[in-house]
Amino acid sequence: MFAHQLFIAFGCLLLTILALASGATLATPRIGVAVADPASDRYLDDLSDVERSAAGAFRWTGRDAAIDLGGMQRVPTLLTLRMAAPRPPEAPPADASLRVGAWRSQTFRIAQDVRRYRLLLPGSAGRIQLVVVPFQPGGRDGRSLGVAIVGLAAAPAALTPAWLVAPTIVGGARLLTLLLAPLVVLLALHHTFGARWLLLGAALAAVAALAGGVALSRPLGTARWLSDGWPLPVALLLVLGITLIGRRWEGLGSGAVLRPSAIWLPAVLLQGALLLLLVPPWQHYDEPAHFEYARLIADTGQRPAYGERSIPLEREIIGSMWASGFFARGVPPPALLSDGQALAISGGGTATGHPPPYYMLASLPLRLMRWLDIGGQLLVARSVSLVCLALTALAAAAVAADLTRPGHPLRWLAPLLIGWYTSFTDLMTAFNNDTAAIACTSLFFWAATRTIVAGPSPRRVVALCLTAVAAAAVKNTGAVALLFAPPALLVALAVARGWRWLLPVGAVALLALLPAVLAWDDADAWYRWAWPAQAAPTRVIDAAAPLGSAALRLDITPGAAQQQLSNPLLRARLDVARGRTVTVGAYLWASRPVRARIGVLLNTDRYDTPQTETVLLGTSPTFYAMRLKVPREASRMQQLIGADDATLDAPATIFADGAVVAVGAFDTAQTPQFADSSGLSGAWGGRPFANLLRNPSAEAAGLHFRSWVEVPLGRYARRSPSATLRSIVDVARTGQLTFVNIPLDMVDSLFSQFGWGGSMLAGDGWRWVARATVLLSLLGALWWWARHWRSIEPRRRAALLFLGAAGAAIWANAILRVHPIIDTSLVYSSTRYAFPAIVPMILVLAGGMLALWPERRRGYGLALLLGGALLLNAVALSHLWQFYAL
Amino acid sequence: MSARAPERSASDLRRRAATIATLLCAIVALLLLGLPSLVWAAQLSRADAAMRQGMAWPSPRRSDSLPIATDPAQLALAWSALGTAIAARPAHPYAYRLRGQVALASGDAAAAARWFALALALAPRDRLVAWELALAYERLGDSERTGAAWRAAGLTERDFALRAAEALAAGDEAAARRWDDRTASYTAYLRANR
Repeated sequence: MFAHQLFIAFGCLLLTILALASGATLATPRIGVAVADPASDRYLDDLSDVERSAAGAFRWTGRDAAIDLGGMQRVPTLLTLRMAAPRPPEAPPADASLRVGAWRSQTFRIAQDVRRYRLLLPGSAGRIQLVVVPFQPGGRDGRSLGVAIVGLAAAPAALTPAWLVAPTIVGGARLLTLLLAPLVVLLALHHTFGARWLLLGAALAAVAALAGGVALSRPLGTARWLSDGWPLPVALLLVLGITLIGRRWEGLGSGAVLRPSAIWLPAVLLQGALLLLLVPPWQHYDEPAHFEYARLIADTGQRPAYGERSIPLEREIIGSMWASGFFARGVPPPALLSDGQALAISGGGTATGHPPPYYMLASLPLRLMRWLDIGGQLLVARSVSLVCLALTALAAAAVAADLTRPGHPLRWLAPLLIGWYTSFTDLMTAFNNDTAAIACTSLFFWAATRTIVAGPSPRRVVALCLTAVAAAAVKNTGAVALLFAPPALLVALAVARGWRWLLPVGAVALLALLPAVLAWDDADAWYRWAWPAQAAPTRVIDAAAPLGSAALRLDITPGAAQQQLSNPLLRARLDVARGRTVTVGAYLWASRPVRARIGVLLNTDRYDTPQTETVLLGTSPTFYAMRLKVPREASRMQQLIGADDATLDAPATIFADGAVVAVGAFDTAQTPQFADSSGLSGAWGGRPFANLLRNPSAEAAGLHFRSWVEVPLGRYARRSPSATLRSIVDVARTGQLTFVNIPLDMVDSLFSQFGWGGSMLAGDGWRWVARATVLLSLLGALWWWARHWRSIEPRRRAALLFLGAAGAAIWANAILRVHPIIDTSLVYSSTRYAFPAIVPMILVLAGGMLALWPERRRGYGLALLLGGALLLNAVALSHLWQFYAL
Repeated sequence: MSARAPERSASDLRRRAATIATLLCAIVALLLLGLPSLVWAAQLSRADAAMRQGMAWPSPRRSDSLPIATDPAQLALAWSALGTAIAARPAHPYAYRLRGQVALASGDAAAAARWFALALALAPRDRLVAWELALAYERLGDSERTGAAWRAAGLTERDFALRAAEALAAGDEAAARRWDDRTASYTAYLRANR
């Protein structure tokens, strides 16, 4: 048997070596790129944006300009740079040299016009630094510039044997990965399913070997998507080992092998401590601002006012950010010497709008450790989050224990996978109130599951209420716990006492509550912006309205911000206007003479520009109009009608009707004649026009929250709930984003977002790994549910349904969080907002994956799941290590 | 069965003793390994308390504010504690930097410059330390070294100009003049050391 296995393994290895050798022989790596091509960013670092001259597109090199040939620099390479040094006569000559590690080229002078410069580089693993004597263009341009690069080409010199070029470029770690992958595939299938699956295993291994050969024939591409670190091949070896001893793992399912906490607790703490130290200071979401909040509490013993700052503390933080290399990646640094706004950390953002409990908790150890350097203090603060991670894992273990029989592997697998889920652990070791929201929500899930499974008791109900309140109190992402606390109690009572009528009664009560919360008298298609939120509806029946009976209503008060209403154009209508002149107008009047703004907000992928005119309104409707050209690159456009906040000295109400955005340059001195009260078309100066706006005369009403909900909920959620609701139900405008783009984006980044949300496991391969994992887990979980739901004990069934519903609600909240999508064209989603549902998530991921395996083979499934998780963890840690190694 | 019980309890006892001994060894090893850090932390804590009593920063504290001694005895205590901290963790820059601040408060700009330079050597990317070093050199009147430290802090003339504008906007003309003087001095330094 052993000889048989050895023979198979040897055959597989031989085939892989043959495929890799063929790939290496066929490889002809070349780089040729113009700087105008976005692909040039792969190879060039610290270059300006693309500029253009008569000679074509070029980019200036900065002080730290470097060339990264994606691994090609490991072999002797012929590098060709097309560049010029157009400098004023008084500037120093553009003397340049290249450096790679200890090697340095001779200094050569770059001419004023574009020429080719060819250099033979020695083989070296480092980046190629382009050292140029800088100059400053003068005038308003204060940049320190080097040379203008037009294009770059590189090819291996004929000094290395052709067959050795590709293996050298990809490096030893990647080569070993390509060599081991087919063997892992073969042995995993063979050992898991036995000899009957040998043919399939051999076929898949052959495909993997050929894929390895193809990968090696394209070494530069392979070097881009495959990690260069040794953890990956080491993890493959581990998987190989686990696969070989897989049968022994079946014993773990009996629960007799190890006590659950002995497995997961050290693993979670170790992983947490590793990430705590591995990720440099300030490299998590808004960590500087969150830390400043906690330090302000530690220093003063009071909650800071919104926007309160400590300039010396911010300077210390920025000093520490410099020391830890934070700004070495091109992040624009604040002005270190400033004593004002230019010093701002976290891009000028503040965390002081968040609820204080988490920061108060973190301020306690900070008070005792104020003598530490600021980086050390951050570590202390991050340790509070590490406790949150341990609590989350504990909650997962407890929920799994309540839902499964003794000895079930999910009891230790769920918390263990939480520890090995690197994206999650990375967030949970950040100084951010997300960590406390996640821990409290997870504890809420524990309390709810316990209450449903074991029945409500005073202690459990108190625990349920406390954890729900705590989750909502630390961050608004935990508010779902508060919403789901009453249903948890209802479900617990219904199953414990047999009061099945409670659930339909609860649902009817909820429906009956809806009219008290929602109303149908806002202006459809119009969005609120004001902060604090406007209490009254944005639509009013007004006899003075020139079109129909309704008009827009905007209540304005001194001190409020962004007091405006907007009407975004649908994409198809914007396409009509792009690159053309449009005329924008509306009837406007006010409760008293007041200054107002009318115009549009134009969003492109790079900037958001309001183009408005200020007008003095009277108390009777007057038509105001302006003309503007819509840029071709506009990705969103919306009409704005708002107050001139700066000149407002007393409350007033602005009314608007007959708003119009029409393609063409119409006479702004004339008033358009609308065809009917809908305002969708008409004639303007004798020329017909089609209005690009929806509901321009506010005749159609739409949903909004009543003021008793709108104002306090808006303050808590830090956005207008009515505007969010409007955006969600505006399916024509946002449906594609809400139902397709954002969920897919969140799934894609489920395992790959780290630090400030950057995707370190980028590329199609990782995207498909995430999608396949989620899809397989969901299918497995549904398959398990379909087969077993009748046989599950009713209380556990109810608890599972509750966890599923609450988890789905948290995901929905995370997806809908991007709304209202009006202020910028860039929509950022983040998986971290779904992490309060980590307990149900991990149960679906782990349980679903295990359920895909037949009962008697589940030990192998377990071994492979652990191997896969370990592999993913190793790759993620390796990428983190490489990313932060400066 | 009962005859075996004493054997089992003796073996249990041995196993427990071995476990306790291993744990103790691990704790002692950890303590020994972490001892320098513990000493460093304890001394920093002492120094911090003494510095809070021994010196004060002008209020509001600006980027070029210098500390003032309020209790020389406490500063001496801080100085001594920082010395012990440095001996415990000689590769950590923070205690060196604090010594620089204590020296500045005591009016010994030359010593301050030495300690800030040592801190900067250990944390060459920390621009705040480089700026503090420049303040010490400025106090000494060494314009050449001040310029070099400004350059190490990654500063440009525009940083000084921005600061001067801020001071002017705040109505502090004396500060604006000071920053303008720095701009001129830095321009001269950069011209001479291209």
